[in-house]
Amino acid sequence: MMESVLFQIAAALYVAGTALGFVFLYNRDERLSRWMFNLLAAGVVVHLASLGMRMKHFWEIPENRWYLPINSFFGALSAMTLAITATFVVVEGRHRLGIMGAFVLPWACAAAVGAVFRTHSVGSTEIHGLAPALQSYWMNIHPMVIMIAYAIFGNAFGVGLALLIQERQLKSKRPQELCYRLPSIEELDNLNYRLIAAGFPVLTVGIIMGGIWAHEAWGRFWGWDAKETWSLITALVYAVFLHQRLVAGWRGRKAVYTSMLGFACVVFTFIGVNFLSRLHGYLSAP
Amino acid sequence: MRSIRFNIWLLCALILASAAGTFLPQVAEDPGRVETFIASHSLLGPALNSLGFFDLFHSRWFLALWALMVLDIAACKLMEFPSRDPEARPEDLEKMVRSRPLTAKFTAQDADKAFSGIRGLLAREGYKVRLLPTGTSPLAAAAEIHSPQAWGSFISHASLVVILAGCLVKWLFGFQEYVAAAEGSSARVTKRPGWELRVDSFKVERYADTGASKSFESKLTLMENNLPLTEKTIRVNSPLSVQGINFYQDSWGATGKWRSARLAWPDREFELTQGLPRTVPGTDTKLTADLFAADFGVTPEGHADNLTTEPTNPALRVKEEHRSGLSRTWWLLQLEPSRAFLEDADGRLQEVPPPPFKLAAVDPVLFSGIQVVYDPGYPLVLAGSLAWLAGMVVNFYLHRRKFLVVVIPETSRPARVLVGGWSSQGAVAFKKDFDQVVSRMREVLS
Repeated sequence: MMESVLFQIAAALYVAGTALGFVFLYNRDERLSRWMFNLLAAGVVVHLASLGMRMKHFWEIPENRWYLPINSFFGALSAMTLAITATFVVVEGRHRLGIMGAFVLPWACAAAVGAVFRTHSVGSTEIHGLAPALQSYWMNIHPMVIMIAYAIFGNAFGVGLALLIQERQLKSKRPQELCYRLPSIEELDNLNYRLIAAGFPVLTVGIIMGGIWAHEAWGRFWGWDAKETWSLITALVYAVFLHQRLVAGWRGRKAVYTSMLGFACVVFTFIGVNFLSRLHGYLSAP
Repeated sequence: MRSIRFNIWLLCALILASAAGTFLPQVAEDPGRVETFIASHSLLGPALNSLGFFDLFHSRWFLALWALMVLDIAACKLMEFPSRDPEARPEDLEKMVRSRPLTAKFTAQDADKAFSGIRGLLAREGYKVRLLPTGTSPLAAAAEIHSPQAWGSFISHASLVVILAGCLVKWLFGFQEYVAAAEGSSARVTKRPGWELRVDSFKVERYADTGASKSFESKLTLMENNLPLTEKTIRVNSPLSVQGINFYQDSWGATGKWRSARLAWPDREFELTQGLPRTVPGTDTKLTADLFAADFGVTPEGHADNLTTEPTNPALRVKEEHRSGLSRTWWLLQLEPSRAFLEDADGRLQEVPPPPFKLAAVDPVLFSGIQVVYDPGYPLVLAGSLAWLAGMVVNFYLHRRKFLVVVIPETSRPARVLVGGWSSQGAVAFKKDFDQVVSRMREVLS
C-alpha cells in the first residue's frame, strides 16, 4: 500500500516536472528549468523509495529473493519511467538542455501514469512469484539492459521531435520565440545521433544476453518469439539509421524520420507485443 | 551489391518479413491457427501458404535474405581491411589539410621550432604523432588518438558473419528433439540411437495465490544401451549436459493416468485406485473411478473433453452402482465441488446437482517434457556475439580523432602553419577540442 502511495507521489512529481518543462518552452526564466530538474530528482528519489518497498514485499516470496520486481506490467512500466527520467537527467542535465524536457519527459509521464492506471485496474501493484524460467541471475540483467536502451531511444525520439520543430521554425517566415530557445539543427542532429549510437550497442547487448539466457533455459539462442523478433526489428531499423547517417551521410529530417520509426518499434516491442508473445507477455502473466 | 542503397533495401526487406512473421500464425507455434487462417481466407491463405509465410522464419526465401546479408557484408566490409591513410605527396599536403572538416592556419617565425612545439603539444594531449616523409620541406606530421576505432565497424560486421555461421552449423549438424516421459517410465532419444531417458521422479510446486508453476524438476537417468550413463535432477535454467548434448526441462503435464483419488462425504473420506471397484463401507453402493481429465471441458456435442494437459480443472469419472440395479456415471470436478455432470450411455453429459460425495483430491501421474538439444554452432554464436559487443563498443564509444599539421617555411616571410582536424563522431564536441588545441598551439608559438 505504502509502495503504491509513494509511486503515485513520484508520478505526480514527474508530471509536475514535465509541466514545468512545457512552461519553460515559452518562458526564458532559468529557474523553471532548475525546478524541473529538482522535481525530477525528487521524483527519482521517491520512486527509488517506492521500489525499495516493492522489493521488500517481492522478496517475501522465497523464489523471488534477490531478483528485481519487473515480472509484471506495473513493474515494467515503473522501471521504464525511472530509466527514461534518469537518462534525461544525466544526458540533458549534463548538456544543460532543460528545454528538451517538454519533448522527452512526456514518455516518462505516460509510463508513470500508465503504471498508476494499471494499479487501479488490477487493484494491486502486481507482486507475484516468478515463473521458473525467470528465476535466473539474467532476470536482473537482461530486462534492465534492454530498458536502458529503450530509455536512451526515448530521449533520442524527443531530440528528433525538437529537430523537426526547429527545422520547421527556421523555414517559416515568422519563426516563433521557440526557434531561439531550441539548440541549433546541427546540435540536435548530433545529439540524436550520439544517443542512438550509445543506445544501439546497449540494445544489441541486451538482445544477445536474452539469447544466452534462452539457451540456458530452453536450449535455443533464438526462437523467433514475437518479442525477440520485434527486438531484432528495432535493432535493424536503428542499423538502417546508422548506415544512412555514417555511410550515406544522411542528416536532419530524413535521418530523424528513421530514428522515429525505430522508436515506434520500441513502443510496439514494449507494449504491443504483449498481445502476440507467449514468452514475454507482461499482460497475460499472473 | 556494394552500394549502401542495396544494403538498406536488404535491411528493410528483413524488417518487413520479420514483422509479417509475428502477425501471421506460424506452424511452429500453433498449427491449428494456421489451418483456421487458411480455411477462413480462401484466396490469401493458400497464396501465403505456397510462399511459405506460415513457416516464414524457416522458409527458403527468408534464409536467402540472410545469406544475401552475409554476402553483402563480405562484399562491403570484409574485403577491405581498415588501413592507414595513404601517404600523400608533399605537394598535395596543403590540399589534404584543406579537405579536413576543421581547419586552422597561422604563422610562425621559426618553422622547425614551431613544428617541434606542435608535435610536443599533440603528444602531451595523448595523440600518437607520426612524422610524414616529405624530405626537407614542408614539415608534416599526422597525429591520431583512439585509432582502434577504425577496426570497430570491421569487427562488428565480421562478427555478424560468425553469428550467422554458427546458426548454419546448428542447422547442418545440430538437432533438437522433444521427449516426453511419464514418471517412472522412459523414452528413446531418436536422434541418438542407443540412448534412452528415464524420468525417475517428477516434482512440481505451484504458487498458492495464482496456481502458476513455482518450480518443476525431473530426476533423470540417461541410459546408453540399457546401462545407466549418468543421472541428474534438472530444472529450468539448470540442464543436464552429456557429450555436448543438453537436456532441458521444458514442460510438464498430466498423462491421463492417476494413482489414487480421495472422495469425501461430510462425515468421512474414501480412497479409490484407477479401475478398481470399492464398496462404500456401511452401504450397498459400489464406486469405480476410471477416467481423469486434467483440464475438464465439455465439447459442443456434449461429451467430456480434456482441453490441455495442465491440471487446471481436474475432474474424475466415477461410476456409482447400487445393489438395486441403479447405476449412474458422474463427472466430479475437484475445484468446483458444487458442479457435477451425469454421463449417459452415449457419453453425453448433463449438468445436475452434485451427489453426496465430492472429489477431494487426485494424485495424477505426470509427464515431464524434455528438450534434447545438440547445438555445435553455439560456441560460434557466443564468440560472434562477444566480438559484436567488442566491435560496437570500439566503434561507437571510442572517438577516433586525427590532426594533420603542415608547416611550410617561407624564405622572406614567417612560416605558414596549417592544421586540419577530423573526428569519427561527435563533431560538435570535437570542434570545441579542435579550437582549444589550436589556441594552445598559438600559445606555444607565441
